[in-house]
Amino acid sequence: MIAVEFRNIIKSFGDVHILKEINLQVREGEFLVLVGPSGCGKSTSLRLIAGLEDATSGELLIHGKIVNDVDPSQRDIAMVFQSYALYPHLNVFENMAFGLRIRKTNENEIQKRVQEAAEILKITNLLDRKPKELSGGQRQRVALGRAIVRKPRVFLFDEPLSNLDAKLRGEMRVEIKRLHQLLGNTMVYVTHDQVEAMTMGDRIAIMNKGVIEQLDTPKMMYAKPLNTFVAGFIGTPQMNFLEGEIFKSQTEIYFKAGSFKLNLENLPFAQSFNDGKKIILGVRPENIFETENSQNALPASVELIEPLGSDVLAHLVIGGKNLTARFKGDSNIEAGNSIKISFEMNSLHFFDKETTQRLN
Amino acid sequence: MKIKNTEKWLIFTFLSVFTLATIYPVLNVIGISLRTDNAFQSKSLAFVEFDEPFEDTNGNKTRDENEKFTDENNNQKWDEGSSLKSFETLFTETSFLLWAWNSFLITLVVTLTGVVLASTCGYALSRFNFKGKQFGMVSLMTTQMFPATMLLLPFFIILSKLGLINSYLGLIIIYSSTALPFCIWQMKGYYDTIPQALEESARLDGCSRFSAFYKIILPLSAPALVITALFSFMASWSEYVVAAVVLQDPELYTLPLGLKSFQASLATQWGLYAAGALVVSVPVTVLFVALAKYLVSGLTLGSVKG
Repeated sequence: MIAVEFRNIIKSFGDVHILKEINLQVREGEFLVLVGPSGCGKSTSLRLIAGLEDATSGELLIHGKIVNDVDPSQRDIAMVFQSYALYPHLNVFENMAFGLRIRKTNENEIQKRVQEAAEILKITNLLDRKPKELSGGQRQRVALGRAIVRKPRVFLFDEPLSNLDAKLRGEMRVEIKRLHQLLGNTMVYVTHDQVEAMTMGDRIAIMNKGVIEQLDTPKMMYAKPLNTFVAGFIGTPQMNFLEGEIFKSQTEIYFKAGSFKLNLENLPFAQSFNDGKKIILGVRPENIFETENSQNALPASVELIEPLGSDVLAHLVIGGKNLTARFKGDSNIEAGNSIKISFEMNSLHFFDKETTQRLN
Repeated sequence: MKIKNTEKWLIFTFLSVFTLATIYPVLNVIGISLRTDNAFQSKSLAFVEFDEPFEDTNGNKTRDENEKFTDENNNQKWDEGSSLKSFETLFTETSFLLWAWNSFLITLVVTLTGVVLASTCGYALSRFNFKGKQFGMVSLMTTQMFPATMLLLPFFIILSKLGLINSYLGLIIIYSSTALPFCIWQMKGYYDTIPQALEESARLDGCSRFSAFYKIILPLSAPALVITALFSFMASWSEYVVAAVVLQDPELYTLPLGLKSFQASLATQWGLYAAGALVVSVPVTVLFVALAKYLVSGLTLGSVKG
């Protein structure tokens, strides 16, 4: 069943087109992450679902019903804001109970539900406090609690973790994911952080300049990015891109970028490329490895290393091109070394230079 | 930072001088109200005066029956020291209570109107975009640049055309309209500091736009509302010039008009006048003291984002 659906949704503010014909289906019970750089339209999409913005054209459906003209209060949706938006004059209990009181829920039920939510989020000892007496993480929990006591059909999250420090962010990420497993509700989560997107989402929609570039599972998004934007957005460090062209003759086929040359003989799909085709080659840092005697080995010089403990990031220069590689943490590579590297040939990504679309 | 001793003394002296300069007239008025001899010219600050020192024309220190004398305040009558007689007269022999009631009614309506209109109007200006918003806001500001006396004539003409001369309604309209621009700007400025996410959150929690405003935004705006109320209150409670033009029937007089009526053409009853002035200032003082906490936070919170 489809929980939320965008049908040809366009949203413009004057001449500025924020969303350009978005079509999107969020499945019931799914954790969907909308991710993209600032200004890509992800937050606007979320606000459209909430009813805080109106679509310029197109239809928005929640559980099969067109809700374009339905007031936010009637949409049965809860939203967790980036700023938490806790009511400063109410204590934690009243903050969580607010939505239930508005809906005239009876007092026993309110007590029960708030207690329940407080236990899930481990904030039972904070119920009497005012928001200003809470830390960032605690406020975040209260905001979550306020959302879950209402038992809405759809949860919306608008960059809820971006105001937290790195450690707390990691914890809350797990917390929210656990909450999703526990409640099983539909959740739509907006973030600009691709790590959050990858770790939390059942599916991810990557947005850029008002369009959805790709909608897929995190795994597929990583393995088969549909274009250079997605390829560059997902993964840290970023995928390496080499712009060059195909050289093809009767006997050999290779990719050439400046003095950098890569033999493509063993790649069946590469045979379909025409001579002179302009290509962007994508290589993830972890698909570069050190080698001694591979046929396809390329000489590289190590410019700089960044030890991360478990891994080492090495900034390499190969044929005048800069690449980042991720080696094992115990690698004894050092800056200034000359090494030989080779690529995991089956994990290479080929994109058309003109359309930036994936070719393999 | 540690303030040096000399600096401390300088500040102390400076503040003391100005405090005394502020307090002196008040003390004087209190003194006058307690004296029975219409001692407007008196330079004494004594609140409690004993029987007046007396020396008659014969150099006698005792007072003879029907003896003519002139005391130090140029009075030809015997003073009996301090008393609350002026206050007693004020409440029993003048229309003071009627004027107070009139003032109270007018002030109440003006304050309520001010709070209701400024809070809603300020909200609209803070949250919505509509045609003429900028123009409207600048126009409101512009009205503040003219002194009320300059507007007296147009006010008078408008009110007489509407048949509202000599009526509370006329006065209420003028008081409200002069206090509102400041109050609206004040409220708008305050709302601007309240994040929109709070209302949005309330709306998703099930509130309509109005109930989100009423249940979330208004309670958070208490400091600004207090200032708005106080300003509206002040605009009408002690206003004299407009009231003098609009109200002609003594039955309708407000307190400032009433007080002025003690200044008769031949003799002014300074004792009564002073007593009345003191009573009039009591509510203002009480309000300021009671609301001081809000006043400070209200005036600063608008500018400093918390």
